[in-house]
Amino acid sequence: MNRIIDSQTAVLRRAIQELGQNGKDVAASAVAKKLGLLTPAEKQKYLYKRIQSLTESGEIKRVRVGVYKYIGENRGKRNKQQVMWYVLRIRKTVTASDLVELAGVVQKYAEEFLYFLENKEVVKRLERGKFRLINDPVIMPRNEDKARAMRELRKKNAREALAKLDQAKAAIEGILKEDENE
Amino acid sequence: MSKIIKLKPVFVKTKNVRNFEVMMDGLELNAGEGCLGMVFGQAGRGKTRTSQWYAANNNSVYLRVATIWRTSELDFLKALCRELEVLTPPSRKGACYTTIIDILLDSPRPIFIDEIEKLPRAFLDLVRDLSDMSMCQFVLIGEEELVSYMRQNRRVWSRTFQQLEFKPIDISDILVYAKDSSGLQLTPKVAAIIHQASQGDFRIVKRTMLEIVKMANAKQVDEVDEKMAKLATKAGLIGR
Repeated sequence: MNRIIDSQTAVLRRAIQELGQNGKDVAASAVAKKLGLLTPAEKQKYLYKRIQSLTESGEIKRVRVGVYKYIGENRGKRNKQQVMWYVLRIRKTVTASDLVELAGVVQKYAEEFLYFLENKEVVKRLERGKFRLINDPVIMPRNEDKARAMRELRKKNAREALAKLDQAKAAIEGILKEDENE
Repeated sequence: MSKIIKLKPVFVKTKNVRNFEVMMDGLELNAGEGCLGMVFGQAGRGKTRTSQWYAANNNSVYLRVATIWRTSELDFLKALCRELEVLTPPSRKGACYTTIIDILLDSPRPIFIDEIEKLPRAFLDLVRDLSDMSMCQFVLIGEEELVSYMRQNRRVWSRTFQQLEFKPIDISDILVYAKDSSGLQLTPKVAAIIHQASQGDFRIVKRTMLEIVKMANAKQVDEVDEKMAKLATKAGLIGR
């Protein structure tokens, strides 16, 4: 059993999906065990809060105390990426233009999506811009690399902004000191 | 003309598509009761593409029937389970059936089944039961033989609340498609030439428009005359 230290919501989601296959109820304790969360502090930090947010978004439903059922992401409406994924699954072979037409996205986004799936070995590139679904995981693969890169970028921007604030503060303090000396 | 004309992939809401949406709204009025819809018509009229577009953009389920399921209700049910995001469908018919009902009761949505006429008529009873028990709308899509296929099952036919025939696309659809996809404003005469040659088959219309766009770019014009239309329709038909 792997002990999950960095339990992102994606990891939690996968655990709940695996335990809740075929519409089975999932106990929070079973999820904690699967993720290797042992102490109450770890469970509080990595499990309960995320379960709460998944419940609020409607992705999981509380059946009774401590027991949940996986409903699905954005059950009310698919977002554009999910629409593209669904089009691919039902058509099996698509071009980027098919996704533009049927999902209403721009060409670049459709191409990026197909290249991502190609890298994940979910689709295979054929001739004339066609991509064939060769490995259907049913649940759409998530672009964790991109999400991680965006998080790193936000952290970097935050650090740079704080550094600039420190510089500005130092400059202001310098000016105030000069004024005092005068 | 300075710009290059491009044929953009657009989903055009033809009359058939608008009627399809009206049909789905009509079925929605029966929400909470199991009921069936039927969409039929000749090949090439956009039934499959329309239902796939609708299913993808409206959180519905689309399943295309495989002939190999003829002898196996279990394979059919397992395929439907996978479309409902069941990662490991049960290995028994009863369990699959129950799983599907449970999921749809929990999260109701329309189910589109394409080419069901490939399967023996007994499958219609299975679809009827799924629709009754889940209280979801099941829409069956197929060619003209779908009508007699369903009519012969009295119980299924009495539950078929909405029927829609996909007719050949008409001249106004061609005008709208040309404008939306390429920006070209065809004259009614040019559209009539395309319509006559295609006999309302949208695939042929698309191929013809591609030829028209190529010619327009080669000649650096943005108006399409009848001569261009006739040449393009010949090339479009050859692609058949």
